[in-house]
Amino acid sequence: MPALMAFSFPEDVLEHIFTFIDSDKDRNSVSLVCKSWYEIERWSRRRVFIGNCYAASPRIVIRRFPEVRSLSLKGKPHFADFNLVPEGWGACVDPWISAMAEAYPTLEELRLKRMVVTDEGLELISRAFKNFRVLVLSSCEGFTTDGLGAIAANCRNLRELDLRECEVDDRCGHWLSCFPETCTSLVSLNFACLDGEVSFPALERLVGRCTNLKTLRLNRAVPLEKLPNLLKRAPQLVDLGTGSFSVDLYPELSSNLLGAVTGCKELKSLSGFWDVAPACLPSIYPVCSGITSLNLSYATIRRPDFVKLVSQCHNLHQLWVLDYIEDSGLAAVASSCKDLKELRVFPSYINDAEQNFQLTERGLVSVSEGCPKLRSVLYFCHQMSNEALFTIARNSPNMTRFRLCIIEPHTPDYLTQQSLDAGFGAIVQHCKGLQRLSLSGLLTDRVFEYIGNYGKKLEMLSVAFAGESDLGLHHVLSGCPSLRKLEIRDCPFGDKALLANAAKLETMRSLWMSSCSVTLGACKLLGQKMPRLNVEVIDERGSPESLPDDCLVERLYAYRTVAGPRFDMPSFVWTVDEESNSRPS
Amino acid sequence: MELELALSLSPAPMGTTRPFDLNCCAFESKETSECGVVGCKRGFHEAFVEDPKLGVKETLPLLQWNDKPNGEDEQKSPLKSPCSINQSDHGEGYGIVGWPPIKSWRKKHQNHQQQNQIGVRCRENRREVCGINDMVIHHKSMHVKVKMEGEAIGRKADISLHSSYQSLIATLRDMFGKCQIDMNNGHKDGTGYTLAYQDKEGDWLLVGDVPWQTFIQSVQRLKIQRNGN
Repeated sequence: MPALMAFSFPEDVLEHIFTFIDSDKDRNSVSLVCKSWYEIERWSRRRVFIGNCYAASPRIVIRRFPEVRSLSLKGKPHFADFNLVPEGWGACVDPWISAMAEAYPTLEELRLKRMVVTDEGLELISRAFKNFRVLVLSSCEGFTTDGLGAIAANCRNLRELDLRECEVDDRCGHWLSCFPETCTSLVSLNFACLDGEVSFPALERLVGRCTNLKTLRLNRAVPLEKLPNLLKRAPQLVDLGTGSFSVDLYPELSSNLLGAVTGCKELKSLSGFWDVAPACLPSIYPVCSGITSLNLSYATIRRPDFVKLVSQCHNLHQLWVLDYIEDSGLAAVASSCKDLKELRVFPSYINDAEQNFQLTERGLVSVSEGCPKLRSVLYFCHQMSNEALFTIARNSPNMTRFRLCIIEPHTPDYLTQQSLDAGFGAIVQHCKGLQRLSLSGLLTDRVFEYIGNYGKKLEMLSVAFAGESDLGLHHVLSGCPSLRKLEIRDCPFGDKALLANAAKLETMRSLWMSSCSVTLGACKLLGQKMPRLNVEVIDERGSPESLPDDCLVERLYAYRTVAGPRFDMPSFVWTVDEESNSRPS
Repeated sequence: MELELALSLSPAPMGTTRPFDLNCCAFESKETSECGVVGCKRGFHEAFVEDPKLGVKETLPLLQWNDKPNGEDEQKSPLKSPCSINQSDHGEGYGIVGWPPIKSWRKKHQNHQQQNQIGVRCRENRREVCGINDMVIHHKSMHVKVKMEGEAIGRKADISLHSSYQSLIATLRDMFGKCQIDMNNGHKDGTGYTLAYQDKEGDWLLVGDVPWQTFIQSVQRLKIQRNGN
């Protein structure tokens, strides 16, 4: 309408205003206002986040957003972390890199999670993007240290090289030595997940000349003797991941190390502590009071040493530990760390059934009582009760992430032998802002009823060995208005609930179901009726054409996409859709 | 002390969910309810329980809506898990694939530390040579490419996770879904597959001829070929 247009801002003013809008959600909303806003927004968007790399394609992204500087991509489904996705499934980033090498010569940042990265891809990044600054690879695989060497050698303005729990083929070469002597731009260097040694002189020189280095996470191959020299060269460090933390001749080293640590007055985060020897721990006491994040999840230190350490960490926000510290260790956390927001307790003896120490539900209850700001929990234990869950729910109404893993499947409430439905029900009812939930223990369909009803903000739900019938799945899919990711394994959920709620799947990022009761016929039907979903059947027994419709699929992965079926599938993955009943790659 | 979980049957705000009618293969719009039950549960009933066209047996437990409002559970019989638990390894829940849900990277590095810790404690406790002094267990993964004849896409296997030919072959059988992979021309009648490997000199040899330790030091890649070629 002419009257309205007379009042609209000139384009360049709008464009300037949009530069202040950072969040993806806001930008998405802006782009929906009208065509001209859509156009201005798409030309001004610099950061793109794609939660499922197969939901779009490089061509589609480049066509809509021509001036991107930062891309974040996630690949494999979350359960790939636990070996439930066979190797070779996909999520290779190379096609993205090739396409962007032409379209985004000014690309600066690439953040990848659960993707396959190759040395060729890394080399292309290092040559194609002249202003490349940030490379973050989380849980990625497929590359070697040769690829890292190319990044180090060619990226003149590299700020961040951050490898988080990647599987890297360590050629024990000299990738770190590939950083030229002129490189001074590093702010963050994390190679904790690498196995091999780096050249210590090269590391010391690199650390010394990068005066803005804030994050340094060493790998296990860096011995404790080398740490003082590194710290003296980087007293401005904020985040330190130590290498190996034990040494035979500690007394000689100790004052040197203590002095070096004391000199790091800005330290906020500590991790590493590989092979930790308790005698070496006092060297970090000077910085404990300033620490907000502590990761001891690779450190098998016993309760007494842990208590001495943590009782000095009054400002802790985030703590990752092993269950080795026992309930009493967590009680010490509860009394010392009043600002604690996130707690993760990992199991220590993965292959050893003997439990010589006591970590039960009591540890978590005491933390919920003592730490009123607690909002994120990951807890592995062997027993739980509804009563404990009621208490936790009451104490922590601000919980946003609650992941409980009772190690033995189907474990009931150990006090009453009943299911844990009511306990988890209390969690979803009282924690009104709960965004992420993982269930375990003995659970019937009832718990899903609670979740469907009360989980208004729930975005991600992980379910294993739970439920009794399709009703459980139906409760979740027909409730949970904010649900984006649902992953299920080993539950008796099948076709009915899935098909009755097919439309829901288009409102979500993805659904994973493995070892459930979903038939091939239902998958085909779903794929045919929902053209904007890719319905992938991942099954190593053979092509869907050779299997009857009523046979159960091993794994189903359904996700919404604007890119149509993918063409890079290995032989054990089929997209079932309307063009043919099943389509192999 | 118990919480009262009030389960009201208020509808979940589900603007987008519609019942899925298997018969007419098109979406039906959500009808308004004339009975007391609303929202999601009705959709389910419509599609599968009350619709006689679909011929679904009405023995589904979902019909039991006479729950106690404070959420106390009735006694449930032990749940039958449908699928992947290997009962023989049930133990502490460690024999199941991908369970407990710990990242494989973390599992690997924690395990090696424990083995090293054992070594370290030995050193600390017993200054005299105890034989374990020199035992340094560093896990180095050994991924080799595995190509099966007739399959376009190759795979990778981590040899270091195995301590014998049998365990490697079992894994390869799982990986490729073929039970007839064997060593040394196990199938004389020309069926099945044979496993071969390429050594450091580039020669292709049959798997199983040399001791396992020798094999893992020289293997570069694996090939599964059809017998009778």
